[in-house]
Amino acid sequence: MAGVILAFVAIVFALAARRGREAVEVEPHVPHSPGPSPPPFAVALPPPRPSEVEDGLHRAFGDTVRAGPSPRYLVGDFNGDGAEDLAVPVSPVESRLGDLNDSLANWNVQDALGVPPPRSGPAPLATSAPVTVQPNDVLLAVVHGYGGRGWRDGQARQCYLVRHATGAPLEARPRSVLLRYVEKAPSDARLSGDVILASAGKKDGFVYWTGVRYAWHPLPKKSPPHPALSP
Amino acid sequence: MRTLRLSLLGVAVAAFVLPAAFSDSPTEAPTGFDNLTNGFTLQADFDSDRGTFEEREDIDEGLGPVFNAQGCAECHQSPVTGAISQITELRAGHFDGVNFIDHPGGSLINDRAVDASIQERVLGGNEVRTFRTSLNTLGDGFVEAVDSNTLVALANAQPSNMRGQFIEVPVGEAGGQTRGGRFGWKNQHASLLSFSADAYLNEMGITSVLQPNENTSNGNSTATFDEAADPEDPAVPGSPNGQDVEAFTRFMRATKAPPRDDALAATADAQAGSTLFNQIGCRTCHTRNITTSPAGTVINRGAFTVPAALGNKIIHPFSDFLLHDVGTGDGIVQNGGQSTRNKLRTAPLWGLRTRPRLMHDGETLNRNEAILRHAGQATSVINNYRNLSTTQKNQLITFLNSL
Repeated sequence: MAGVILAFVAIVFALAARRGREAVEVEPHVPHSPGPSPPPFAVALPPPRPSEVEDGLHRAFGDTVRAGPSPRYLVGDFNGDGAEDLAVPVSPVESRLGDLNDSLANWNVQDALGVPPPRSGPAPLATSAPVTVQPNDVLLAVVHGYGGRGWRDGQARQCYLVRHATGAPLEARPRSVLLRYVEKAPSDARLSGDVILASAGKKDGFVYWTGVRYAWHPLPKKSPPHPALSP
Repeated sequence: MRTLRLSLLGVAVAAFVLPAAFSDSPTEAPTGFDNLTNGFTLQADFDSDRGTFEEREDIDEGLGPVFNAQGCAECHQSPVTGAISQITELRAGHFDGVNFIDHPGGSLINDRAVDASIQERVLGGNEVRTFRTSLNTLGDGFVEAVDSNTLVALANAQPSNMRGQFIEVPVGEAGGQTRGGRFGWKNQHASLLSFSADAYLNEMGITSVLQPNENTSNGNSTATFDEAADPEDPAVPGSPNGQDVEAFTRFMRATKAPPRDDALAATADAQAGSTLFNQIGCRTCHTRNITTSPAGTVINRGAFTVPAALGNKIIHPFSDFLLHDVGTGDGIVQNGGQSTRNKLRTAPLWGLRTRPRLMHDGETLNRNEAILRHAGQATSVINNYRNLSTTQKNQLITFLNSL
């Protein structure tokens, strides 16, 4: 009998003790930082040397592409994150086409002319077929920069191969200037960073970053041309 | 002799009962896409609340004047009510080079209206635009029950160049006192009641006690088109925050967490992928295990007490519920301050296999591209991924497909 009473008393005490252990969440003291993000990486970098361009390309794409057919490269902040990016016209190495088009490749193959117009409301139900690299393509290889050293940083490996993005004049311009000149700017363009002046077919236009991909937009025909278009 | 036997029996019973009574060992949270309660409410109440969550509202019930959907389940439905959908919402505003400025009428641009003349659209000069996919709400009762200090501890454990940002946001039902945000793409809510009232207003245009003022149309009053008196979900006896808002909240609190695909998870490839997920660093932000506060803990600044069904549970959200800059934007500021402009909550990966459209905007359509789209604070981890062999990448993706 004493054992039963002992057990009963123990259970009652245990449950009472649990019930009494009500806790209150105490909000942690975390310094709030309501201010804007610091301007990223406002560092003037020296002009790239050809060997650095080769290194940057190789880090991103290995030996699957080679610069050319004409030697040329652009630097600018093409994705608007404050870090300097690299853009180089390249040709595919034909023996590596399989790797270039691998669905698990470390880069994204895109077509600047294949970007559907910006939409609103529910996302579309159908998408176009994957873009693939063809043997005779001339692609714009873009390497996004990382941190203050931009595309030269050893961590800078986010990269894209963009079809229909290498037409003349292939020059970088601040996008804020250019978009003010364009009466109907693409609604998915961002104001910060740079764009790449590049013709497509016989039309003048520019290649810009949408946040997901590179797209091409035509320039209006104006005379005289806006200063932003001058070299 | 009999007394001795009874005494021994009593001691034996006490030996079994006392450890159990005192035990604080957490247990696994229930999971399932099965429309069954997690125990927070009775099944009959859960079914009733789910019915309210699925209900389609009409103009005479307060729908609009501007809105996105007629019911919660329009956006939170697949594969069961409370989960996800392909629906996105549109946000916009202007960045002046230093600060984000809301679009007139707020950054949310409602896609529908009860009258064509008040349809919202993105006005010129608002070049920051983004889509946001509908979020899963299954298991959110457990997320609400996570102590804010647990989230801060997760941030403190992360390397400084990957550290997530913890923000405190108002809890409407606690008079605006703040708590660690954890709901929404910007962690703009800390409590499910506040979240429900916000969504009822901003997605369906229905006002309630915590959100009594109608939205405008691009900053212009919509009062002419508002047929129902505000608040449209009023306080009633037993439901001081409105019957519907409270039903939505109870429903979400009573949902089970998204389950794994056990068959796929058991495969050698998925298990190898799970190991790779840890090794290359994905788990730094996509946190695998979090334990909720003990039952009885008072949270939401005194407005809610964690019940036994939600307390001391282990969840596997694959998220730290912190804000990070992984290079994807989205350029919008809600209530976390300007420093959060280009940060988003780590997407919880539980239930990932139900999502064909990935990242905050749903613009990425396969796992590899989604991984490669990460940059910024995720750069070193993604470079580890780039260094994997094709076989290893496939294993990692198989693991992700088991979530």
